[in-house]
Amino acid sequence: MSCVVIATAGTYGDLIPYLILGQALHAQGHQVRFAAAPSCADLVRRAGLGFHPCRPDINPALARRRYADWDHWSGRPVDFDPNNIDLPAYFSDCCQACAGADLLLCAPGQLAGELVHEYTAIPWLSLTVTPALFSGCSRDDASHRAMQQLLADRLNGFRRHLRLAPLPPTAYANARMASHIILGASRHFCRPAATFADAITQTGFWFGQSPSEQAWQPDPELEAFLSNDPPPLLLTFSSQPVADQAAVVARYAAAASALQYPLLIQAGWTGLGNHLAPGLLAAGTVMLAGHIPHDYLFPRVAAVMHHGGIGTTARALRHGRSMLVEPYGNDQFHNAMRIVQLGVGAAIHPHRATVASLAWLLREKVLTGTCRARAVALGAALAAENGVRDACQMINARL
Amino acid sequence: MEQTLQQLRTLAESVLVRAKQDATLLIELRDNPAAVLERESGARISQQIQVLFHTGLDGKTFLDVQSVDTLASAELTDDELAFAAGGVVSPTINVSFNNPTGMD
Repeated sequence: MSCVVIATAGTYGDLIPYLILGQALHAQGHQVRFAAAPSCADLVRRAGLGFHPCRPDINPALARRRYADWDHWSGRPVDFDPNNIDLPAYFSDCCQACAGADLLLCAPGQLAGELVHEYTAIPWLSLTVTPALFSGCSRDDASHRAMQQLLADRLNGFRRHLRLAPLPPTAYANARMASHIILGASRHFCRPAATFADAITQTGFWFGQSPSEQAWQPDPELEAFLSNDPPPLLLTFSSQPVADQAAVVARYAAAASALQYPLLIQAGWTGLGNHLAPGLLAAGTVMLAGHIPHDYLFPRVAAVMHHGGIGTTARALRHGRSMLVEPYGNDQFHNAMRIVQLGVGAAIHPHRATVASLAWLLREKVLTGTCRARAVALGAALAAENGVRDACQMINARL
Repeated sequence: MEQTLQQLRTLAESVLVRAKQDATLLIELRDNPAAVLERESGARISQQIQVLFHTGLDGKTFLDVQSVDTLASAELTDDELAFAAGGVVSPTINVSFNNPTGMD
């Protein structure tokens, strides 16, 4: 039995697949310990895995408070304050989590991974579910270069403190990876650019039942709503915050009404629909919900309207649902691009969307027989993969 | 003869006012708003125009007449998505692969 530490920093789209992988490693006899944000503790412990709190702490309150930073359409220069990156804290937390570990599996969001590996000599692999990182696309403008320089200064300053050799600024974009990377994202969705081919082992998405889903049961009201004919459209932004929840909900609800589809809204981190008075929902064409396991929900909806996060994207693909994506930032743009290129959905600009344009895109591009058939075919291809098994094989080979 | 966008919008306003007093007309509008406007105007509506009847969460009804060009402008094109995909800016997620030390 080996001790494996999985260090992750991100939202549930990152955490859940890692939890599923962690559970599989645990089932194979390994001791698995998560180094993750304190807000993840409950979920990790419910999965029966070890937990050590580790900064940075990305959580719903932070996302809501800094919603503008999560919207990259604003055209602002890159807003990056290296002082917000508390490397000594990340390093200290991650080092403690790695005490006695045989292998560190590190997500790119955890900037201290490489430092911990070099300082402790614990072998490491990079672990990611974000194929956008290897798309070959990268921004090269003045603000981005300035951000890289600031980050390099920050990292090298701390490397000197640890008596590690500083690296040239060109070594840093924002974070760095091990020379071996496991990418948990189906090749049917996208393949890494050739530059990365030698470094990456690509497996299917890491699907499985997350701990919060194991004892979950739908209530009768939800079951009845999902039994509508036609089935409802689903609006879910997961961890993506938005500036004006009421406007987003109003837009999607009106578009759904125009197409005569019921609408199910998942509140997510941003609290979509929480502003609505119960009386407004009396007509029964809109329903609000909190957490519902996507494996239960997605097969029961007509289409998924979401922000383009990789977790939601992967589940919708697996269940053969066509999608309308409203991307705001990060890898959401790449995921939206792939969804459009694969012909399994459409993408809309968050700040140009109207009721009429939403309805038009849904009717003409998302709810068509062609788009739905492509989504079903892609779902079947994904179902034939076993990403968790393949990732475990690679990890076991390193232990 | 086809109706112009402005003619249709003017007509839509008046039809919607009437529909608020006429449940049958309201249902017709909900089910096929373009057909109602074609009947009312006696003219065909261009396929480049979308007529949309929708209801807000507060129960208010709207009859929205838009050109398809306007509607399509909200869609993200391949070029826009490709540009945006190259513009990943979050310090928590953006990564480049580079390992000059070979230490791992």
